[in-house]
Amino acid sequence: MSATFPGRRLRARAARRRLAGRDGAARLLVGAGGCGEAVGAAVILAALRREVERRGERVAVAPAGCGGMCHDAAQVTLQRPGRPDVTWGRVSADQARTLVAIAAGELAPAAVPNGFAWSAEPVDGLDGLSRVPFLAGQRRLLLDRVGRVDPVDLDEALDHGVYSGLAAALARPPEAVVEEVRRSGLAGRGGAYFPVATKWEACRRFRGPRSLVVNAEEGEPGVFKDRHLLEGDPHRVIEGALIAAYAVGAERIVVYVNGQARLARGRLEAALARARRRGLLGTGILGAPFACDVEVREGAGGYVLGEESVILESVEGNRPMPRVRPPYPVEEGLWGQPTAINNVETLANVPLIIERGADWFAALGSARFPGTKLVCISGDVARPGVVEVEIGLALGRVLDDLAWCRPNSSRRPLSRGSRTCYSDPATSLRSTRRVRCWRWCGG
Amino acid sequence: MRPRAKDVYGPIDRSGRVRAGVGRLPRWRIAVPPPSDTKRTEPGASPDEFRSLDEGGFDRLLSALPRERSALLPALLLTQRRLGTVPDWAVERIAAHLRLTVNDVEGVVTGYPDLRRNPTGARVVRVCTGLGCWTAGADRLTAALTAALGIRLGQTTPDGAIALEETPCCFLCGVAPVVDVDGVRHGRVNADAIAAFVTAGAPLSRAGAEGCSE
Repeated sequence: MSATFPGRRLRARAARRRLAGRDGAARLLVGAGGCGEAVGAAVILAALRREVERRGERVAVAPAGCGGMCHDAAQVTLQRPGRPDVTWGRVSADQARTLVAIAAGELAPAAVPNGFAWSAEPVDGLDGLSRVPFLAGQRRLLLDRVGRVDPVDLDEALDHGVYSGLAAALARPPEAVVEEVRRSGLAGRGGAYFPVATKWEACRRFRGPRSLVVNAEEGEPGVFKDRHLLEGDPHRVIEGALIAAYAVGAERIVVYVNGQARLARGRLEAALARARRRGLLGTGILGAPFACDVEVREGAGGYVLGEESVILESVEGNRPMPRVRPPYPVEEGLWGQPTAINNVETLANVPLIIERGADWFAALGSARFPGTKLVCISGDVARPGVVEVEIGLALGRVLDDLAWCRPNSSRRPLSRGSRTCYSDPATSLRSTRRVRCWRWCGG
Repeated sequence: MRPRAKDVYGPIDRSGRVRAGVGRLPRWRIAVPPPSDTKRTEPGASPDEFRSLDEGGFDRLLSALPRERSALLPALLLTQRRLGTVPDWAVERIAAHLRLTVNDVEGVVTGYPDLRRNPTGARVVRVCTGLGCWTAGADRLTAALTAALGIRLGQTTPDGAIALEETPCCFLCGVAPVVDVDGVRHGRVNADAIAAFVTAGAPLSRAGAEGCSE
């Protein structure tokens, strides 16, 4: 069995379909994440569709996730073959006519204000990435596709190499997958930074059937990174969850989504349906002797639901109360079965590790905690949103360069809970190991 | 043709052993219809018509769910989506369908803050008072809404038309302040515009997105 043959075949087919479908036509993507929807992304999307239909133009219009620039929502991104993508921020529905004219090549991209190009150099009179500090200061690996693809489109995902990590993982024994993740040093991104491979190995020690629970119930106020991932790139999360399920030998995956995150849940379910239709879920995934399926569950509010044992109680249909440990969930979890529970962001890292290797991942970030971290910024800053930076970057840089605290702000932290412990802006991401989110406010 | 072992037992790994989780697909996926909240916000669809599901119709709805305890929260969410609340009779029907006691169901309903046991206004306006929205002026929104509606937070207008509540973080801190009207979130709202939108249905123009109206 060659290492990636099923993945490669799927990928080639996906590329053919995409070529046949789009054939070099331009595409307008509306940044319709939760934040974009709240400021009228749906209205913009409808206006763009109407305008394209009225003109009979061959321009595709699709909703995308939010790329993290919540301060600039609603955004519209223009993609043309052979040209760098162009994104405009704070777009309103009135600008639909101009945007479609730009997509048709009649007007220059600078006809709509607030635009920038996804290239190093300025293009068509628009700033390049170096003039967009919010993006220039980031290391976007997990957010790479978020906001710049149709999130549920499986062909596009396959074309971008999503699920090739799964194919690579299925070609090896599960123990080798666990070992690769151990060498990468990946730590749980839910807040506790527990070594992922240790948890998986512990789970493997107990007799199956086993389960994998994906914790997408981020209930901490001010934290919205997991829903950005699910809204913007659900296929990456599904791939990560499948690799994790293969590694721990789990036959079922339960994704527990926050009850407020309806958009994230909808996109995830749509992506799952497409993956299931193409044989990426079910029995004999990618021709390998591996069977797994995913169920999506939804919460109904309450901060305590984010705690892993509460999720288990909730799925079982009990009152949402934490369990006494030990036994830990890896021994007795869902319905008493060994259960690994991982955060969405953690799992989104897994395909990258399998695909590019543990050494590549271990070189990112700090020596103790390799990799990147999604940071949610909100409060009295000029540019709230989600950023991805390497762990170890000084917090002050995130706030000054990316979020741009207002000059007169005294930068006193307003929210500091058990998981958001930090002391001063010079603190680095490394020393704030329990940090999942910072909210930084002027006093 | 002789059936291959793969067809009988499901896929087998190279050592010939049936690997854990292989070949058997658990039949436990619970398919819950997607949220139908949009129906509540459609102009012309009266909330009464929407909430007039009788017990027979409710039982048909429940019959899509497996009769096991694990389906309890999905059943409750389904109920709240269709009825806007979880009334006593629904608790009894759910308990009967899932073979649980009424107390079991009652205990779980009261464990989740998002599930309502009591009827509320035909429209529900919830102001996010999470920290992000608070720093962005959520108190100004509540002040404007309480003044416009003549009720306090947590109350319903005397005609039962509009309930005003506060909600913890809506996780849209990037576009604060946020108001949730019948499940639809509106970000970067200003006080006067949201009061006019709620009371008179005036178009909602947003700070920072001028001209973007609904």
